[in-house]
Amino acid sequence: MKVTGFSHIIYTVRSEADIAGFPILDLYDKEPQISKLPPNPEKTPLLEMPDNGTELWLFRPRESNLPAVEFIFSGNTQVRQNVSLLLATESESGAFELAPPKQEMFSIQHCPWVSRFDCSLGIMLSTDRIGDAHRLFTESFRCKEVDRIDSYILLKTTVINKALSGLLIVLASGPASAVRNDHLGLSTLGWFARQSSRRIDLPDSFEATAEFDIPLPHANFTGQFIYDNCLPSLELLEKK
Amino acid sequence: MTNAEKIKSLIEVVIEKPLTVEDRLLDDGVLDSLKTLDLIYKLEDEFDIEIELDEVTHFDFNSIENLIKLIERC
Repeated sequence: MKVTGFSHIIYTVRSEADIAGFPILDLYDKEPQISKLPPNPEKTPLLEMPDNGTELWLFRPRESNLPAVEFIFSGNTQVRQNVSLLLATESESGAFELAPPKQEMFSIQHCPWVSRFDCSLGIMLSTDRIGDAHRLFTESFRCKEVDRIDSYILLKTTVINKALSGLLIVLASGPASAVRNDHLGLSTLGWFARQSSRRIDLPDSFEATAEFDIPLPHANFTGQFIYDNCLPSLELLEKK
Repeated sequence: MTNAEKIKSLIEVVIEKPLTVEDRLLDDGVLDSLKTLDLIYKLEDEFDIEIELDEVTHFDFNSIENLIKLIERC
């Protein structure tokens, strides 16, 4: 598989009521596209609780410069604490430092780096394996390193939407964490990919599931997860 | 067939209808995200190129004229 570009973000939530609390939901269509997927044994290594099938709610952005956002439901109560969504803010003078991600379902920070690097959205990932994460995103997922500020590594990729907008990925060193896809919060980053003779080489700490079918109403995809159960998983989607 | 004609033909395959405009392809919704993805793959296959998305912008995909320039530099 060869990564083509960024597709969408996925939040794991407990219920429909949680979705209403997503702080930028007003930037998305009011009516989600709802799909139900059967249990999938390929996901087992990523989950703490058994996969009883997935109901997913996909919201398309009203603005052309955002990725789609998808919500999946989980009975788990564990909330992850190593990822924040970064929203653009006007450039500030002087030093700026990100706070560590909060242990909240929707950990969000305003960050001047998002607009400074011509992006419409950002994601901050905190990990104790920043070297492996850097290799994964730059070598396997073709992100471009745009800067290093203090101890942060700033990467950029392109969202395949109507604006071909930029997405900033900020890597930060943080404590070790053990998370699963069914833990609450930003659980997966979705990417478009296509078959290629070039194999995706992964850093040692990451693994890949076997490929599996994702039948959706508007298109059918082949999916594959890349995961280390520390960072959010990465889902590769190949359109059939 | 010129490159412009080839690109127009590929877009028509992607959108499954005749193309009536040659610009504002993204702005006017001729191409949405999945259609843009399809077009990227068809352009790569037809012209034997690899489109590095980090190097392209909304401007490149918004008109046939700009797509021709994109192909020439890939």
